[in-house]
Amino acid sequence: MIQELLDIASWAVRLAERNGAEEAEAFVYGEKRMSITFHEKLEAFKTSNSVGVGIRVAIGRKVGFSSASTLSKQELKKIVKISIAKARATQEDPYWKGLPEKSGRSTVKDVYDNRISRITHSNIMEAVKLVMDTVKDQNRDLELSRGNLHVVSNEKAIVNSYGISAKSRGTLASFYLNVTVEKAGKKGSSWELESSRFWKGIDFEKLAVSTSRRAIDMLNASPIPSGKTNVVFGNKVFANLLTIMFGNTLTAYAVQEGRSPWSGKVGNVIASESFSLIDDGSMPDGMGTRKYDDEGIPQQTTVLVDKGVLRSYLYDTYTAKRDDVISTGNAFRSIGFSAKPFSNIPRPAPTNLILKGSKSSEEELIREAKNGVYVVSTIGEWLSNPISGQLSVTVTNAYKIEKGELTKPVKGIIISGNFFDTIKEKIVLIAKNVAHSSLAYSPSVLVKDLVVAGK
Amino acid sequence: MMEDLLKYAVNYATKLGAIYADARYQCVTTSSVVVEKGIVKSCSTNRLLGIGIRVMLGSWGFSSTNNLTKASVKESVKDALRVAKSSRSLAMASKLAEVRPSKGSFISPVKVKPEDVSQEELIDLTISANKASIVSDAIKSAITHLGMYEDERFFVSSEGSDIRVKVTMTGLSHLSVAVDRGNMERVFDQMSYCAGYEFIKENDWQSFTKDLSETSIEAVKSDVPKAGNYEVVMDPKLIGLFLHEALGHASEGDLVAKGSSILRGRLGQHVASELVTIVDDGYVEGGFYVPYDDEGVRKTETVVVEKGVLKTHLSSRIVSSSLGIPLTGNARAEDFNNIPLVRQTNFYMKGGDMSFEELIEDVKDGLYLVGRGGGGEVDVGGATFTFSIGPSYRIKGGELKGMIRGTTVSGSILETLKTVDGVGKDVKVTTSVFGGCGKDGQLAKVGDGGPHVRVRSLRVGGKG
Repeated sequence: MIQELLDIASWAVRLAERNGAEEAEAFVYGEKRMSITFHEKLEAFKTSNSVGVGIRVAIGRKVGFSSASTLSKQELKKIVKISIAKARATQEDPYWKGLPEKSGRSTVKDVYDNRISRITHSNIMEAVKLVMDTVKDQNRDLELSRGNLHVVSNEKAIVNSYGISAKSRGTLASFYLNVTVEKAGKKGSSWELESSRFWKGIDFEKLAVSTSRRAIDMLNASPIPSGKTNVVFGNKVFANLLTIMFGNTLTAYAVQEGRSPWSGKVGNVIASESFSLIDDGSMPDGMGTRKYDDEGIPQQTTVLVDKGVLRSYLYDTYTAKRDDVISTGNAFRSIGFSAKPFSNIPRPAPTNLILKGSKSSEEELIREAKNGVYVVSTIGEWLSNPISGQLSVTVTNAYKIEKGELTKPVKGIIISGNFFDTIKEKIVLIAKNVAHSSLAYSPSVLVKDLVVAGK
Repeated sequence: MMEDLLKYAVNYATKLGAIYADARYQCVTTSSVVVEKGIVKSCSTNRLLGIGIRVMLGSWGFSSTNNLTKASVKESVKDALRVAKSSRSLAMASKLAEVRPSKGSFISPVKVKPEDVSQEELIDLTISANKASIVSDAIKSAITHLGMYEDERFFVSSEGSDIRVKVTMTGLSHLSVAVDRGNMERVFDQMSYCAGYEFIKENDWQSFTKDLSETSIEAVKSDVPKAGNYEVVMDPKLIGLFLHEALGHASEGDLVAKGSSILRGRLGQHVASELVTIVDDGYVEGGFYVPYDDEGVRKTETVVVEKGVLKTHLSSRIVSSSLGIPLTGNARAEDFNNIPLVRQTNFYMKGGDMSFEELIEDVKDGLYLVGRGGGGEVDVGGATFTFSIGPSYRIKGGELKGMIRGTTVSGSILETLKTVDGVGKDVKVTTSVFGGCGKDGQLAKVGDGGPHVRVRSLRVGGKG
């Protein structure tokens, strides 16, 4: 399949050049996807095969783009013509300095699990049955409210007028579970989202057990009084915060377009000395690891924040040429494992955003907090403002910390504050238990004196 | 011709044993122009087309393809049946509520088709809207996005339905970022309408973007309110967002049936103050156009809450049958690649009898919250909602006094609805060509809104 994609990409680029494009690029994509949703019983089981092509052309500094969800040459001829027509009609972009030039072979290994690409309906059914049975076994009153398991295997090929001819493929399995319980008029709910590039990377039974236990704990959960408190953010929660607060604003695109508070701050201290953040597109088995980015440039490691000092932004080719630097291999046409990356132009985005862990265990953090709250899950954190730094998260599952230990379950509080001040002045301790969520890998983090709106 | 392919698909599926089958063809064309600080950043057109086939054999089996040939469709039918059969042991015993097969063609009103507008005109308009927003040096970023969307769907079922729906929507969005002494604030808004390019032509986009910039400049100098509970008056955009998150999702019958909605078991109970009446309707001025859902069921006005009492939930054919509630035509899929889920269409509050001034004048110390550019999320099982608000205002002694910066608001769904103590007359429903509502990985275009509404107590996140 992949060679076919590469051939189509080459053909499309040659066609565009013959029709008047001075520069042309074709991004050709194909995927196989299976998704099952269930609760106490199965709801739906779907399979889909998707393909698509995105054509970017430039005539001088005028750039046009068009895409279609097909590999048919007849349709592709149309979209090549449309993208050229757009390039002719549009206005010049003074910052356009060309499509990427070939930049050597990648040393990054694609993350591809044959088990996923060959997965059968019965493999998926077995996993679902295991989850259903495990939840039932935990407690009679538990209800499996929602479960979703989906697996994807995809391939892409990128060819352009400067000799780039790159192919890359990947697999993903993603599992979501929400368990609820109702007893004596009280309600408890808990959820978990786990993703892996490998089928074996998801421990269905373990997740079903932990989610069930937390749902039961949350039966008796209540808000804590409003005020200032110490907070231990669980690793996945902090990974979500890092994604929201840095995922877009540390890209050169946001900086160059004036939509980042980090503009002009390279070399400045922006966080505490214990805070080091990298983007590692080459991380073995990383969730965002690919041999080539979506422009055909090899992915790599970029140091973003080193012991609190801002060192770099994330670049694709357009932004790199504008700053007279080299692309950091961070071009993405979509976030996560979307089915339609071919319908967008590339922009920089994180691959694997990694906050360096320390040597402390999560228990040490809780002990060090003495009194406060340990946050396991939240909603609404994506509504925080990465431009002003205003953080606001609604806590759905948490535990009170009293005298260095976890005690009562907590829910229904809002934690707010300024994230930028928090990472500069309020980080007390970072743990070693790195886990993945959204676009980041993070350990748990203890922060002091955040404002809680509760009872 | 496409209908023939769809009819072939459902006939083949029933021949191979499906109790019910439907096939959806879809062709979506989106065009956009993006301008940042006067420069065209992208000018693009995208087309997505394909067929999705759904079969019922206890639970749903589904398969989709972009390859519009008979051979590929045949494979998809077999795939859909294969997955349905393999999951039969764990499937729900489901019955489909009856629906009379429909035939017809429904096209949302368009005066000027997007494809009839020249590229140059689209680009010039977007550039001029963008340039008008650069009111001073304080504006560090200004991004304007012109969007045009045409979604054509054909639906054919094994029961004889044959429906075509074509929706055209256009809109423009803008984001301004202002800086003041090291602080930054962004303000976003958009206006869309189910219409052709005539909607774009008849609006004053330069004033629209200029106003956003001026608001961001004032907002960056304003304070975030202290965290706590406040008496608030919400604007139509915010009440729309609030209802969507606080009650809309909980009203989705599939969530009720699974036990993950706070509204389960509450039909006939008071879930809101008696001033509150909420409906879900497939056609309302300013909203998104949904004459039929993706199961071929007509979408008419569904009264969800009437004077505070919960009347019904939103349903699909399976949900209607399993919960014993009316079929409301709310089964919608993002595209041909996805299975329909129960989704809202235009979910909004009906007007009352108070004016905006009357609502404000009884508030001694509170907030006037504006939903412009906001978004929200709900934890249906945990019964809490949370959403973000744009720059808003303090109310002191019955008058608006001073801007506050955007922040987030959250609370308990049922508690908050019961404290509505004033409902305005000025209902406004809006929709968006950009983005939509997310559920189970699917984006649905929706409309939302209502009048200005006063709530006795709402928890505001505030400053740290």
